[in-house]
Amino acid sequence: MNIAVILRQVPDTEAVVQPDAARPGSIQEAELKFVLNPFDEYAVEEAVKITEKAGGDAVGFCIGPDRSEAAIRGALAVGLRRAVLITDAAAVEADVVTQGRILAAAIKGFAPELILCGRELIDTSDDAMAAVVAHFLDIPHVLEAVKIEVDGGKATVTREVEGADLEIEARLPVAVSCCKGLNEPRYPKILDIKRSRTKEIKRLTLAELGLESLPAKSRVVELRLPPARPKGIRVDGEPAVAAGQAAEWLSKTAKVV
Amino acid sequence: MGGILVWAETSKDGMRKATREAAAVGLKLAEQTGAPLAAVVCGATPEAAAGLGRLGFSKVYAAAGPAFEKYSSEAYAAAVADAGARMGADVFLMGATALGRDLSASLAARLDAALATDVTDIQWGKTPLTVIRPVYSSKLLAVTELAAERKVLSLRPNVFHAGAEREQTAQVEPLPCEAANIRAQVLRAIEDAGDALDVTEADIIVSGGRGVGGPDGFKLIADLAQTLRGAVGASRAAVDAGWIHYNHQVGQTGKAVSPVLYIACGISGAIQHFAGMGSSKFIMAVNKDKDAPIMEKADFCIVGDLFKVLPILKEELAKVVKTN
Amino acid sequence: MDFEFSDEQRMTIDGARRFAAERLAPVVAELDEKGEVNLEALKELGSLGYLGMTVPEEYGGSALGAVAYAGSMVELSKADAGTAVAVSVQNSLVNDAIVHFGTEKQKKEYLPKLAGGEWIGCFSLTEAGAGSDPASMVATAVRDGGDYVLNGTKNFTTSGAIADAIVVFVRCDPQPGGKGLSAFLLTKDAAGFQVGKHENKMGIRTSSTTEMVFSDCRLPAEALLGEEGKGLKIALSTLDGGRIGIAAQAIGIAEAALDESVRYAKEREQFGKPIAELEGIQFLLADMATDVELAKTMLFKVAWLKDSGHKRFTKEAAMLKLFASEMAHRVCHKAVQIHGGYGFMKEYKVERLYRDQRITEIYEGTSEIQRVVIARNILG
Repeated sequence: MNIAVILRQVPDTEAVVQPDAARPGSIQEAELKFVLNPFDEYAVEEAVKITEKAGGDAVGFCIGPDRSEAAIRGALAVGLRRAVLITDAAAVEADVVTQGRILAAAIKGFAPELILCGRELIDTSDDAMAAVVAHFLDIPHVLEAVKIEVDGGKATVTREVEGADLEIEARLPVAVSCCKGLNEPRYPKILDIKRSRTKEIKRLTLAELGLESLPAKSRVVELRLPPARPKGIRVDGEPAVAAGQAAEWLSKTAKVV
Repeated sequence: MGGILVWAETSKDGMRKATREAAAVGLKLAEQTGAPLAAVVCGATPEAAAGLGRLGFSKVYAAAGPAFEKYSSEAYAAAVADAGARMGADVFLMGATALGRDLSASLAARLDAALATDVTDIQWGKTPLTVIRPVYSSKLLAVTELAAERKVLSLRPNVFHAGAEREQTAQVEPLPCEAANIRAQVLRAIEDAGDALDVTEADIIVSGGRGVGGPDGFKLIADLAQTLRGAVGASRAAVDAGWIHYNHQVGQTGKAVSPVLYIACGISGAIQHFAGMGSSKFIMAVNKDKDAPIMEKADFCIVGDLFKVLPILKEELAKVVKTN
Repeated sequence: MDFEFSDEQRMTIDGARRFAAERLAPVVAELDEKGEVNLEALKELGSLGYLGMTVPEEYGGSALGAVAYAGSMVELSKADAGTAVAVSVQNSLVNDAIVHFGTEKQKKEYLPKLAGGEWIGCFSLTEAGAGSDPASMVATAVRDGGDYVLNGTKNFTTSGAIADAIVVFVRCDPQPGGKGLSAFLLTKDAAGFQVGKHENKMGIRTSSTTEMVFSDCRLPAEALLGEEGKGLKIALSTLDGGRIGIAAQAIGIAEAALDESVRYAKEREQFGKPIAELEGIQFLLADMATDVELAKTMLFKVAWLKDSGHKRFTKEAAMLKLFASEMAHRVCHKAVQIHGGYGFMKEYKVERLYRDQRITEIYEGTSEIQRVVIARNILG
């Protein structure tokens, strides 16, 4: 069973990100450490798990600048067979719908039965990729999977919505975005890290995909820091006294009771 | 500017709160631009559809039939797109709930639209429509111009205010329901045990972290949440330790929430946790470490042992709730 | 010159960091309190290749070299210096001794299991009366027909209680001095061997430290590691590599203390502002950061010397171990100082780091012994 896994390299979750005054809409990258999008780890693990059992290839597809190779190598080290990287600036800077269109075009020839990606891209906070790629490939999608079972031309996927878990049956091929809870991403073995060097990262251009004219649908005109919160009230001492003051604050200031 | 179409999401208790918030945003946008406004609802009774008038809609498109009994991206997106075509909509609004986020993605791809998810503010009066949404795990806010002709917006629950209800009945236009080719179908919904409130739309969240010490400690959290009629949240540390289900996790790898009140108990408040709750209106923290990062961010900090403080706080609040 | 890690080195070190954060850090405080080993994590590190980093691939090792090993040791030590020392002992002392001095049969029998984490190894050199002066050891091996019979008690053996494979040094020649020492390689099930007293330690309490008791422990001649009488040479040359591991451990502890101190200084307020705004604290932090950075630079230089096949790096390894361990002492001391009274409390991480650091100035050659080695090398 062939599986496409959509990958993205993002700033480390602990990174302090700052707007770049010189480039409106962009962040300062010089001091940042980049990692594989944390949710993509679940997608990679699931793809590797399924192909280990059912055979077939798990292949990564990534839009991003050259530095994305580092994140891709990590995914290759835990079991993806090879990867495709698209580095055109027009692709890297595009909105999620356009990026989904590009990825769909890149994935199409591989004809996977399953397309997996992370629940959310933690840089742009977009969570639509699986649905968008699915649309352009004319296949169904399920977002935010916490369980995937593939059997006999269909996938049974569990996802959580407010107050319930939905069990969804989808015909293959299907695109699924992956949540925490789906699996425990493995650690790379050092020998596999060494061997990942021989795995191919193929560069594809928008021209090769026949996607040269991509008008921008949306544009980030400014990145700003969220307003700082004012300093709060602090109480310590006797639990009874502190709890009393807290109750009063909740009813008089926060007005929630 | 073309029309504004709001997707009305129903829940077992009627219209979701997120729908009332989206309606209010739709009304304001329509008022400012003079654009026509309508709602589209799937799988609701005709009465419920007409009842959307109370939220300010004079026109409602209603898709009904077996295909709409359970949510399906394919059937719902087709219906909303159909309604949009009928009214000439170019702005589509919905709450950024689990299904709203799913639908907004399908719809944007289908309409080749600009997609803005989890919007927390709108720059009113700007052309093209310009929104603000948290990015980089809420560490930054992106001011985003939506240049494409069609725009799909999902709005973060609890951020926009729902308007007052009106005495109004909407005119309902049924949508023809073709047998859609549904390739991903909900087999069943497994409701959460009990009637535990979900954190996404909750006004009040009482959340526990490593300091809660174990599953037993979460009983204290749940007790306080119940007294306040709030939802139970958790930090990644508590979820990873297996003390509580992942559904409850707030933060970068969990859910982003914007309640009126967030009470963080025994949570140090790492940047990844703050990413998920930093936009709460009020934050209260209970922590014995007076130097924990959360204490810098909270509006009201109790330095103390949560096992001693929470039971007393619960009693104090129960008194207030009773006298009200 | 090139100060960049290769992709493989970087990914391996990143992997160690993630493992440390997810598997070691969450439980280290509790295990430290109880004085228990995180054996499950140690074995998992083995299955990932972190216990065979300098073992050739043909013997089941991951063979990525000393630079990646040193970087990984720093990361593991930042979270749990006790587990890290077991990793160091396995890589630097046990595996390296077998790789360099073992027979083909010993390599095939021991290395795949050690490198893959199926077995844990220990290195038993010290005795009650033979610490800095191993040549004064009294445990013996007496030839009896084709066999050797071992008698005596070794002490302070790291990983003693969890070890499956043991490298032990004993005296074959009753004449005093270093010439009579020999090394043996055995498994824990050898008749006549048993684990002795478990030590209750000040620091690195997530590692096991025990006595190793040999009473008429009969081993075949093929258990000899290297030639008879070459034991001291084997011990000393193996310890050169070991010093990279211990230096990395000290640096990891110091870096963790620095990170904690920077964080605390920004959060902690006194006199109406974060203490990080006080020049007195800033100077402490600046010195700590400089100390850590310099030690790290030397660490990777010595690891590079080892990787690039330089036969002798004894002087550099001694300088590194001396500087890194004493540096860690200075840094942890300042870290506790910055934390004030809280730094003295077990709830704060620097309290453990301060205790864990102390041994790095003592084991695998005290600071004084390192100075002796350095002086001997520069005086010729």
